[in-house]
Amino acid sequence: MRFLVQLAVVGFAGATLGLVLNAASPHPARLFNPVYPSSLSSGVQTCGEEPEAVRRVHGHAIMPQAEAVAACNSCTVAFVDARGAAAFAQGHIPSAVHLMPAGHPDEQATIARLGAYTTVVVYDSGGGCGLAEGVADRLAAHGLGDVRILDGSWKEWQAAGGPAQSGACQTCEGTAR
Amino acid sequence: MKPAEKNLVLLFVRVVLGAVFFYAALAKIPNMELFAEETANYRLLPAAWIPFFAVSLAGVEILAGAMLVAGVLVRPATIVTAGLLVAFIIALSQALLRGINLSCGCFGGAELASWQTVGRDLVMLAACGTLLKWGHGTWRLRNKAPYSGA
Repeated sequence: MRFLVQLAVVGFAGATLGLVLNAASPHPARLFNPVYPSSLSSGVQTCGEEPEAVRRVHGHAIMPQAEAVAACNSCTVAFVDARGAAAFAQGHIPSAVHLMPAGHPDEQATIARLGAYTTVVVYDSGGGCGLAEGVADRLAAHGLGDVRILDGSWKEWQAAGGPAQSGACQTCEGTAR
Repeated sequence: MKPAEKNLVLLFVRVVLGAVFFYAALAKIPNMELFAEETANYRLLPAAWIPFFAVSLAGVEILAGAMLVAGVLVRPATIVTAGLLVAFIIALSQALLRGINLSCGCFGGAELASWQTVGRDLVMLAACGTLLKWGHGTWRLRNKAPYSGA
């Protein structure tokens, strides 16, 4: 009996400690907001549907536009813009990060911030330039686990009415070209 | 194995196990929102339960880990840890068998769930079994301090 009480005390004290730590966290879980799954579930089937094969480029999964729009609206993934600073300043996916060149002093800090997200989605201007693939490879080489490439490009995102914002990135302010 | 050596091994197992749990929980604290989302991705619990469950889970992990390291109420802490590990193994296995592509949420980073993650949990579960069967080791190098004489 005493042992069961000890177990209950550990469970209760742990849960209470969790609430305290959550309150102290810079990004606390919102306790009264339901949290829904956000990951790509390639194996979970809905009745009557064929499982869709996960397409890959350079070993990175492709994220369909519709899924990316939903993820953008729920702020559940980080977007990385692989285009030039000027194109980024003219318009980009809200909260997208404009990744600075390799070796830039802020590179490590930016990649570390991206590491807080389960999934990172990279996009470019399309046209087969392979910028998104290159940046995705670079992020994966820095240890980011789930790096995906947006299906289509920025132009298609805009054409589909995806959310957008404009303005230069903090690092590129005044240097956009 | 001599009692003193056995004690040292058990002490090592307990402290390492506790430190892993303590660190795993500590790494989640800076972004509990993300951890709640990672918990939801296992698709095992209703969405409304997820935040409370995730927060409680991190708290229990950190407390059990600290108790194991400090040697306080070691048996209940070991059983709680073993229970958590069994739950993790079941959750990970069902996700992998269902083909859910997710971050395991183990150490607050972006580590993808894999069968290696399940294997790591099984090793830690075996460590819990060792502590429950053979004792938890104490902060001493010998069972009895020999009198060295004048």
